[in-house]
Amino acid sequence: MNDVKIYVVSKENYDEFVKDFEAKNGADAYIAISIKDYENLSLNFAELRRYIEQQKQIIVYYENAVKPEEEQPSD
Amino acid sequence: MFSSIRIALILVVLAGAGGAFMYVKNLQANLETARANVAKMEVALATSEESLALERSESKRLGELNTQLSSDLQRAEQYGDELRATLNKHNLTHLANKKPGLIQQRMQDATNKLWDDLESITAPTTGVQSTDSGTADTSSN
Repeated sequence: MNDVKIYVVSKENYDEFVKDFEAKNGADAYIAISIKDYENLSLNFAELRRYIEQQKQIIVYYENAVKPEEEQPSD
Repeated sequence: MFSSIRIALILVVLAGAGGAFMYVKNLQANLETARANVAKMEVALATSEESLALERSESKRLGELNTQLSSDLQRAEQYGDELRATLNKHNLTHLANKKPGLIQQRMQDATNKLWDDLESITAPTTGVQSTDSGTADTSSN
């Protein structure tokens, strides 16, 4: 996965953010997202994660279900 | 006259003996058929019992697998439930206004953990994994 840097900006640190951001990225254009939308984004990712995990479990279930029984060792 | 009667008696005895012989032969043939049928029935019964036992053990095994699957599917919802509880518990807007630096670090840590978790759950579970796979920092920051 590629890293994603998050900035939380309020009136308290806005000036500092603009200065730091411009120094690091060389431009002062950025994509902003509201707290509510960030929460929705998090919940959407949680849904995706749940879906992936459940699909994996279903695959494991079918793999085990169709797996032939192991033969008993004969003495 | 007596000799005729004697001959007749002998013929009757011989006919009776022949009839008895044929009757016994028929009985023996029927017995052989019955024995063969019993053997076939025993084989069929053994096969049926074997099938029944297999069906029972398969039914039990699939029942256990279903229980395991239900448990696993429920566990997969844990992350979302915890996230919803956390978001309901805290007023992020208020916290972000008051302590942006603290919230930024926590969001960054949670996001990094999410990427790691996603990478982990989408990694192949069997076979040899590529050694050059992993997190590559392509961020421009």
